[in-house]
Amino acid sequence: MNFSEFSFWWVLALTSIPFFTVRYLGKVFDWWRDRFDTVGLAALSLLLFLNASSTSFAVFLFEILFNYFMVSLMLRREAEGNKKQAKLIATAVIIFDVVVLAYFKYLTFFIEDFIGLAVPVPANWESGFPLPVFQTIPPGVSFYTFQMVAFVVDSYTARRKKPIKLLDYINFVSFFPQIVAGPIERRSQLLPQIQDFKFRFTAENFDIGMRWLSLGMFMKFVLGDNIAPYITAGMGETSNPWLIWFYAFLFTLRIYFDFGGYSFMAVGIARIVGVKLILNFLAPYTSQSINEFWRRWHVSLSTWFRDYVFIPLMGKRKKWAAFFLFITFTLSGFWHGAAWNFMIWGAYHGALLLLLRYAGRPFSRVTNKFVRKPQIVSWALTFGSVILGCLFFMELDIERLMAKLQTIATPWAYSPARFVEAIATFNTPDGLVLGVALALAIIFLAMEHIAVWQERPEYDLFISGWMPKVLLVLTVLLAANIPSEFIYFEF
Amino acid sequence: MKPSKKLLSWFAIAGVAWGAGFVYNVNMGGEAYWLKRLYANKVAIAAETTQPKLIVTGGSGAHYTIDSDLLTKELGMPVVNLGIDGPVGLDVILPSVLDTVEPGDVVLLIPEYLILRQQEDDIQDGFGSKSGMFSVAIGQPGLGGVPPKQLALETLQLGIPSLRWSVKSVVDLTEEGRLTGYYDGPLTERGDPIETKQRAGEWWPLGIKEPASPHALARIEQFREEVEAKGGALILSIPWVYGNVEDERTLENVQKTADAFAEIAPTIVDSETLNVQATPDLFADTHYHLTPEGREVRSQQLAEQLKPLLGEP
Repeated sequence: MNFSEFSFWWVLALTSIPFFTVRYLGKVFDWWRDRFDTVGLAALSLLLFLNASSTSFAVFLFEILFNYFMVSLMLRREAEGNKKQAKLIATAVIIFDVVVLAYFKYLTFFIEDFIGLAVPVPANWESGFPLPVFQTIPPGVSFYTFQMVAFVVDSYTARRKKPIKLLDYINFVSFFPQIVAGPIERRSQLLPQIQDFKFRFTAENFDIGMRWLSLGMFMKFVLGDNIAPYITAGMGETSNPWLIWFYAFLFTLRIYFDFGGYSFMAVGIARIVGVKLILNFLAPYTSQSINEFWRRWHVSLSTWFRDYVFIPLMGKRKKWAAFFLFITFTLSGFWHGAAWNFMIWGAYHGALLLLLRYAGRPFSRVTNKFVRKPQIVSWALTFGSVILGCLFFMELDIERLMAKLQTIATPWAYSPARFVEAIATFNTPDGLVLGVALALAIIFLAMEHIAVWQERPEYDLFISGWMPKVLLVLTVLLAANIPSEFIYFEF
Repeated sequence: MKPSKKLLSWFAIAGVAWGAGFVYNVNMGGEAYWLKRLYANKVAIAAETTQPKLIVTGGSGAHYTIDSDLLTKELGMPVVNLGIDGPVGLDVILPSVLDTVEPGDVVLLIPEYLILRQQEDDIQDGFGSKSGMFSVAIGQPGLGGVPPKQLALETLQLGIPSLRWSVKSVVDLTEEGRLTGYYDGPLTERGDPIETKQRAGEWWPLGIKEPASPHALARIEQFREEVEAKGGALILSIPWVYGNVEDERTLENVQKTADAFAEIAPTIVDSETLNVQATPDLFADTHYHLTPEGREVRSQQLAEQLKPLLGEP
C-alpha cells in the first residue's frame, strides 16, 4: 500500500477502529472467535487494496482465486501420485501469471518498441487491438505476481504437500503491509505466520514495530521526499557533467531512502499486528563490491531471481553460469519497467558482476600493493558504479540518456567554469534546504557504515535505545509537506 | 520500562512533536499563522468600520487588486478589503466573511477562476488545499463543511512544519530577526496590502479552461441568500486577469461565467475586454495580483461600475 498517501491511513483508521472495538468487546464478553481475526485481516487487506485501485482489485481477486484453485488441484494430483499432471498444472499457472503481468506491463513496449523496431506500427494501434491497452501498470501486479509464482513453485517442491485454506492463501498473497511493493515473501517465511492468523497485539510487538516504522518514515518522508523535487528539476540537464553526476547521486540517495523507507514501514506495520517480514535492504551503500551490493539491495527480489530464474535457467550447465547471470540481471532490469533504460541498467549490473568475477582479484592485488586502505577504494568504486547505474535507471528518455552519457564521457566538459556554474545552481534558499537534507542523508549513511564496521546489524543504531524516537520527532518536524510518489509503485 | 509505559511513550513523543509543530505553524511563523493573522486583522477592521460598508471579498485576487481608499472616496461609503487566499476555497471563504455582514452592507465578491472551477484529485468542489488548515487555524474547524478526510489530513499537516519551512524560518531569523511569510506584510486601515510583490519569472497569458462549476454557482447563490438574510446585498464581479485574449475558449468561458453570475446577482464586468487583460503591465507577481498603479485603474473601473448599482453618493 502507498503509505505516503493519506488515503491509506484514513481507510485503515476508519476500518480498524470499529473492527478492533468490536473485537475488544467480543473478547471481553467472550464471544470472539480466533477465526474472526483471520477473516478480519483478509477483509482489511482487500479493502485497502480496493481503496488503492478498484480496477487492479478485480484483476487481483481473479488471480487469487485462479491461483488458489489451481494450486489446490496441483496438490491433489500430486497426492494421487499423478506427478506429470501436477507439473503441467504448475507450469500452466506460472505461464498464466507471467502472461497477465506481461499484458499489463509490457504490451505497449512490446508492440511499439520491440515489434516497432522491425515493422512500422501505426500510431493508433490500440484502437484496433482486441484487448484494452493500459497506459499505467496496476499497482502491485509486479510484486504479487512474483509472490504467487514463488508460491506455486514452493508448493510443488515442498516436502509436505499439505493443502492450505483459501482464507490463509488470501492473507498470504494480500497481506496489506507488503502487497503493493514487497518484500516479496516466501511460503516458508510468511505462510506459517499467516495460517489461522491471529492479531498479536503486544507492547513488545508495538514497540519493535514503531522502531521500524519510525526508521522507514524518516527515510521516506524526511530524506527521500526532501531530495526528490531537486531531481525532477534537474532531469533536463545534459550539458554540465558535474550536474549530471550530482543529479544521479541525488537519485541514488532518493531511490534507497524511498524504497528502503517503504520497506521498513511495511516491516513496522506488519510487526505491530504480529508478523515478521524480511528486511529488503541491508545498508546497500556500505557495499565494497557489486556482489555485496546485490546481497544488500532489494534482497527479496534478488533472491527471487536467483531461486526462480538463475538456478533453473542454469541447471547443471555451471560452465555457463556467467552467461546466465548476465541474462538474469538483464531480465531483472526489465522487471523494473517496460523501457530500454531498465534493460540497459540490468545488463550494466550483470556486466559489472562479470567484470568483478574475472578482473576483481587481479585488480585487488594491484590496489593492495599501492593503497593503505583498499576497502575505501573498493567502496568508492562500488558506490560510483551504482551512481552511474542510477543514471540509466532514472532516465526514461533514451536520447537524453545518450546526451548525458556523451557529456560525462567528455573529459574537457569537466571545466572549472562548469563547476562554478553547477555550484551557482544551488546558491539559493532552496539550495540550503537541499544542503540540510543532504547533511542528514550523509549522517544517516555514515551511521550505517559505523554499524557495519562494528559488525552490528545494519540498522541497529537506528532502532536501538532512544534513536527511533529521535527519528520520529525529526519526521514530524521535517517531513516534506508534499510527499512524492513511491518510485517502486511504478514498477 | 513497563510495557504500558513503553507503549505510551510513543504516543507522548509523537504528541509533543506534533504539538510543537502545531504551535509553530499556527502561532509563530507557518503559513497557517500568516493566513490566520491576515484574516483576524481584516475581520477586526470590518468590525470597526461604520455601516453601511462595502465588503470586497474573494481570494488573493481580491486582496491584491483593489485600492480601498480610492473606492471609498469614489463611492462615498467605507470599503473593507476582506480578500483572503484562493486555496482556502469558496465554500470556506464565503461563511468566513458572512459574520462581518451587517444590515445595509454590500458585499462585492470577486472570485478567481481557481476557486470557481471543478477541483481535481482528492479535493471536493468548493474547497482548496488550505480549506481545512484555515478553518482550524481561525478556530472554526470544518467551517463551510470541509470534508472530514480533508480536515483530518490538513489538521495533521498543521503539526508538521517541514524541512523547507524550518530552514526558511532559521534563515529569516538570522537575516531579518523575525519570521516571514507570503501574507506577512502590513495592511492599510481598510485591509489593503501595503507591500507589492514582483514576479521574478517569465510571464505567459493565462488560459481559462472552464467556466464556473455548477457547485460554485449554487454556493454563490446560497451566499446571496445568506447575505440578504442579514440585510445586505451581493454584487458579483468577474476578476481581472492577465489572460490569453486570442484564445476563444478562454473568452467563451469567461462570458459563460459572467452570464451565470448575472442570473444570481448584479454582475459587473467590462463588456469589451471581459476583464481579460492583454498585457502583464499592471500585474505584480501573479496573473491576478495588481501593482499599485493597476489597483488604482481597477478600482476606478470598479467605482464607475458600482455607482449605478449603489446609487450615486
